[in-house]
Amino acid sequence: MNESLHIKLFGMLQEKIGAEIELNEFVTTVAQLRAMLEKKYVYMNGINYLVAINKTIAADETIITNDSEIAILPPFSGG
Amino acid sequence: MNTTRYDRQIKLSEIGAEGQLRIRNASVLVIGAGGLGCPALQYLAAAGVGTIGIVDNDIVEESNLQRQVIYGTDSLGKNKAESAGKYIQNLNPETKVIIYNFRLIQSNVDLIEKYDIIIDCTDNFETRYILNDSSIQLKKPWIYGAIHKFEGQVSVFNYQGGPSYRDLFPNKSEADIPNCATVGVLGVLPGITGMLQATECIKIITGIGDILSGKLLVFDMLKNQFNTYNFIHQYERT
Repeated sequence: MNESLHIKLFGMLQEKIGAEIELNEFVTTVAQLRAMLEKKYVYMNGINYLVAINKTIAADETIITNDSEIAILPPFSGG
Repeated sequence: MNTTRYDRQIKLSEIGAEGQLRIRNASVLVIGAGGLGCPALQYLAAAGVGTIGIVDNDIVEESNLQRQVIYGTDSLGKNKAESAGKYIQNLNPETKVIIYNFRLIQSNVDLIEKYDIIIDCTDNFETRYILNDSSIQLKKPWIYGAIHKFEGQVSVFNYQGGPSYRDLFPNKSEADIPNCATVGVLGVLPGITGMLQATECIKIITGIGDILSGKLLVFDMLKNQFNTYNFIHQYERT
């Protein structure tokens, strides 16, 4: 259960969407979070990204709660 | 072995003479002698790694010099693997340096079998997935580094059967992921990233510290933030 999601973004998602965003959306799982984000930010479609919940890379069924620390991590190229 | 050269790290109780011998007996393959490869090569050669292989068929271009600091103006137009090889051979004549003036592709990836540890200093996803899959087959740990503008990622994959890059990103993104040629990069960023990769390499060789296996280190040099994210096997290996 959650009322407000606080999300940190990295890499090019940070430039496109913002370094930290606050969303008043209701989601209970990572799968729902992904669907919500991809609907809201069309740019995220086709980009692989990781969702970390409380500093652990989370599977789609992972539960999101009010105090979940959420991070979105896209792949980086090289150097 | 010239122990005076390595005195300051032999003095570390965690390394000592035995650790130094391990470093001398180790072989490391550095794939890509660009922004990440340059610092990794410098510190591994200086540390006394016995055998270092360098894979790169690119030539040094002027736009490389801002961050690929082992090359000078007189390196322009020369092959990177050969130029980097000369540099580290001069830095440490005790290191055996092997040059591979080609790009790592599926048909030559078995090269990694000859080495204990592989360092991914590539600038593209194609090579990264080839390396990932072959390292699993050949049971080789590899040290990943990647960058974006002011941010970096480092991890150690397939270490003692640990998770791999495909456990993070099972497949290549359909959309293009920008690289430093398109979005730019602060010169010190690949320097820091390559040094973190070299650090993991020395830790694996000497058996000290905590290895970034099952952990993705993500850092942002603008914000001075370092975060570590844990991950596990998720991808079905065939």
